[in-house]
Amino acid sequence: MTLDERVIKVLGDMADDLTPEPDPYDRVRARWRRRRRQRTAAASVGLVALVAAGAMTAVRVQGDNAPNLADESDSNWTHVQAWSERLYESPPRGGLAGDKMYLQALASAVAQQQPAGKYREVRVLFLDDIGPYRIALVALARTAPTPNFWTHASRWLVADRGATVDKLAADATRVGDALEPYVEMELSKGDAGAPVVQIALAAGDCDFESAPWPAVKDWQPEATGSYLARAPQDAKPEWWRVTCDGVMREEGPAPGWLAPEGITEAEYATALSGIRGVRDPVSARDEVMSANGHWGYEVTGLPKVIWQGRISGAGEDANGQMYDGTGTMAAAPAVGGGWRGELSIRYDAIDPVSNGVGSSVSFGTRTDPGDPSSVVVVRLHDTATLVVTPANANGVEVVRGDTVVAQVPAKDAAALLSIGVKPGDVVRARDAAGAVVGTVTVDDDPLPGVSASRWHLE
Amino acid sequence: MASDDDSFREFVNTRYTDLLRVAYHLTGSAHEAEDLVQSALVKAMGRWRRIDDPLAYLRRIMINHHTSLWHRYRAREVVTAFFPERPARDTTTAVDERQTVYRAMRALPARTRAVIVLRYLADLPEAEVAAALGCSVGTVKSRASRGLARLRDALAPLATERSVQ
Repeated sequence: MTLDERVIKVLGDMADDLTPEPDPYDRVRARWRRRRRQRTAAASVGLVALVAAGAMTAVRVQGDNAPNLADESDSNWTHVQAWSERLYESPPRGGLAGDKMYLQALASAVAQQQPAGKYREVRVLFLDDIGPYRIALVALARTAPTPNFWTHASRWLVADRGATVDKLAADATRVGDALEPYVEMELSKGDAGAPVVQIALAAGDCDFESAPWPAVKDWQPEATGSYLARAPQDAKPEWWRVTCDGVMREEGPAPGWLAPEGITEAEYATALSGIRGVRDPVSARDEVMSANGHWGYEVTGLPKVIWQGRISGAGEDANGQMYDGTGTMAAAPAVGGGWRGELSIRYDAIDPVSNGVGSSVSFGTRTDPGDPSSVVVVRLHDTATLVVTPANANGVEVVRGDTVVAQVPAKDAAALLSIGVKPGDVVRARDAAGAVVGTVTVDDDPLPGVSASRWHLE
Repeated sequence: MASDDDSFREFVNTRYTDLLRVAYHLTGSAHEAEDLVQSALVKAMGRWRRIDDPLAYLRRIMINHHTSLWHRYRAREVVTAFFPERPARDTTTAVDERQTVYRAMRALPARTRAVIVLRYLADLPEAEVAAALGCSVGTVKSRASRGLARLRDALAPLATERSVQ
């Protein structure tokens, strides 16, 4: 047995004895019901823009091509399907789209590879030589589509630049269940020195624009119009957006991994240099690394850890989501202005109901939470709000209108309120002498710097 | 809907352990593996009828979820770095080997670990690993190579010891 084989055997042995907890199906159903209730409750609170609470936040995930249709109405799904159909019906794009013989031969070759009767038609939507690659996007129309599933499948085909039809058609590595209204792909990023190619495509009458990151202000129309392709020498951090019929439908960072891996020790030191509360460098580093990967080019700089400490007495919300544990708060300047933040809470013990090990709350601020004199307010749920204060604060009060609605002591640069703050509330931190050392007004801004996808709207 | 539910239930009952193994290697903890699998299944449940290949879909959800949130588990991994109780056939060397590989796995970048899990544990072809991770086959090759090399380097001293004995 070679050493590699030994490694793989040991890996296999390690999981051999795993036994699931009882009743996995019933536990899934229970979680599913809880999540639905949480979402319903969040929608009714009307403070979604202030904070988005839950076990995870939404991320734009490369490669996950199935939208969350469970949360969309039939009407929304109809709109998505209509845009998908418009893309399918659009003329082929790309520098080689005029080579009708090649396109026809490629469509035929792909069609012949498919199981008999599964697809009624194959179309080539994109063909070009970009960098060292020949790249095609083909769409396959299902013969008998079901009402709640995509009408078309898709395949990205990649071969060497100038490849023959047979070689290009032979690539079966990028198979998609769907032809979404907006299709994007990135090649090879992650390999040191490998050429990076990025492509995105929408319906033929849509228009692409791009703007360099991190400013993301100077939007310029793309000469290619309804698609965008970046050769290796042109790929760079930037945002793309797509407008169709006068409505912006898609906006976000160019495709690829959300952020480069690798944070230097100097960068970590900077990110951890202003932590308020009770420092835990190991968790702080993890938070920086995670937030960096999570937010990627939706923020304009490396996240900084704002605060760490205990959260005790926050309890759980009406849906059973727990908030007590050890908290780490990080934030970064967001594309378009403002700051994006996340409070991660690691439970002391596994939640016996959800089996969860922690939760998180996303938030946005207009002012720099990295400023040690700032007051950062994160609403956890209806009866709990965490306030991070300047280090010299020893109390926090909340003023709603002309009335003080909460007043609690602060310790280790934090205070836990037993109310859920509302937009317009003024939160003040005071020192031992009663002087105001920090203040903030709660707003209801949307989370800053978030990618948008609006194909489900009319 | 009943047939969808039946199909989902059957899938959970038959494939849960497979998913749990993948999740265990991603997270390093049986409890967190349960958490990850349950979260992924909840996400899949509402759209069950729209998923062509549930196993591949769920692997992808788990990896995307884990690589974006894995830090929350990592601190816990350090604290609870133990394995499920081993049967009597284990020798001291085998336990040492597992502990060594376990530690080396935990030290890998999350995405490299995901490649190792899918390529060598789930035994997927490189192309399917690339599809699951949304990256190129070249990226899979390089990550697999680097990751396996690190695991090999970690295990090599023990293998040498064993050959001497």
